[in-house]
Amino acid sequence: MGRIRAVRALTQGVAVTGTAWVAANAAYLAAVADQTRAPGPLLSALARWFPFGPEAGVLSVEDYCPLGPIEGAVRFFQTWGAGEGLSFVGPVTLRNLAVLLACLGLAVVTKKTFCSWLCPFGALVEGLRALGARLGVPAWKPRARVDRALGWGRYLVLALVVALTAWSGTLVFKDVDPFYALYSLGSERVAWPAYAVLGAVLLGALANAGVWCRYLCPLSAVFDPPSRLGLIRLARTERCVRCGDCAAACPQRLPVPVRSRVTDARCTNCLDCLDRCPEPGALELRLEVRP
Amino acid sequence: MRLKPGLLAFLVAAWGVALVLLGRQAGGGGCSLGTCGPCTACLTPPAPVELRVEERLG
Repeated sequence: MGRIRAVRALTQGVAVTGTAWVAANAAYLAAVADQTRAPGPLLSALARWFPFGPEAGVLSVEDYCPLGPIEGAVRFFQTWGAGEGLSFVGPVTLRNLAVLLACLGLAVVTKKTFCSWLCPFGALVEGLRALGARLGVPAWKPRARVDRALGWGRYLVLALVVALTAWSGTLVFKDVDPFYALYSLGSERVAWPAYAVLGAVLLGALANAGVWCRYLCPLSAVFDPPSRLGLIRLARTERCVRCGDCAAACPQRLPVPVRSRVTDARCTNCLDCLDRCPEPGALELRLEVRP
Repeated sequence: MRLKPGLLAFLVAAWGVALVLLGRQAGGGGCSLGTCGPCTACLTPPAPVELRVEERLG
């Protein structure tokens, strides 16, 4: 593991641990609020270190979910257009909108670094693929054409989620969201299809880390347009010997050796290519204000 | 302008920390109806809208 990859793994580890901590905090507060049951001994022992106290109400990881405002976008714009103020679907609040805007801002500057550096679910599936490789699970790598076609699945999921949320008036994605299932594990609010999707995605990740992130994740589709603008991007210099190591290392399967600038929306700036590059200075990270 | 990879790592990590801290400051979590202000008084979830309207109308 190169130095950049090690730093990224550390950041991902903090994101996974932090999210799990908030999830445990949420489970504790839910148990305290529910007067019919008491929090378990482990949660009670950890309680003093939780960041949110009872004043936070019934907390959930979805309080930070940036997808909520997108899911309810139709209703949001309908009520806004009618001059009725800001209206969200279900438990979505202004905080979710703020998180979404912050994520979009991050993507404009750094491309989809949220996916490769901070997303706890992305970190988990990456780790699972590494585990799969150790266990001898063969990598599932579809042909380039199939891979590109499957990539459109994210847009399909996003369109379905937005349309069905507008039609039903509820956050339908929650019932199949593997992220929500994972970080609300054991909660009565998680529907069984979410656990089924979670199981399928985690199993699939043993063979291909991108099953969720590259083919199905609607949030990844949301980040594509701002990521295309991404001001911080990789550039290939004249020192490049076109060995192809960068393309082999790229989890997005981008043709880095034929690009002078990696402006592709799919690039997450994970820097695995830079980490793998054997020629110092052949690949550079640059801040550029141009498309 | 050329950037060090460490700067990107720092930027992303700082963004993540800032988001969590600001989110914590924002508060207001727990109100699932979006019809009332941040509730800091108690753990009781807000009553359904219909119930509150009935209460108000007597």
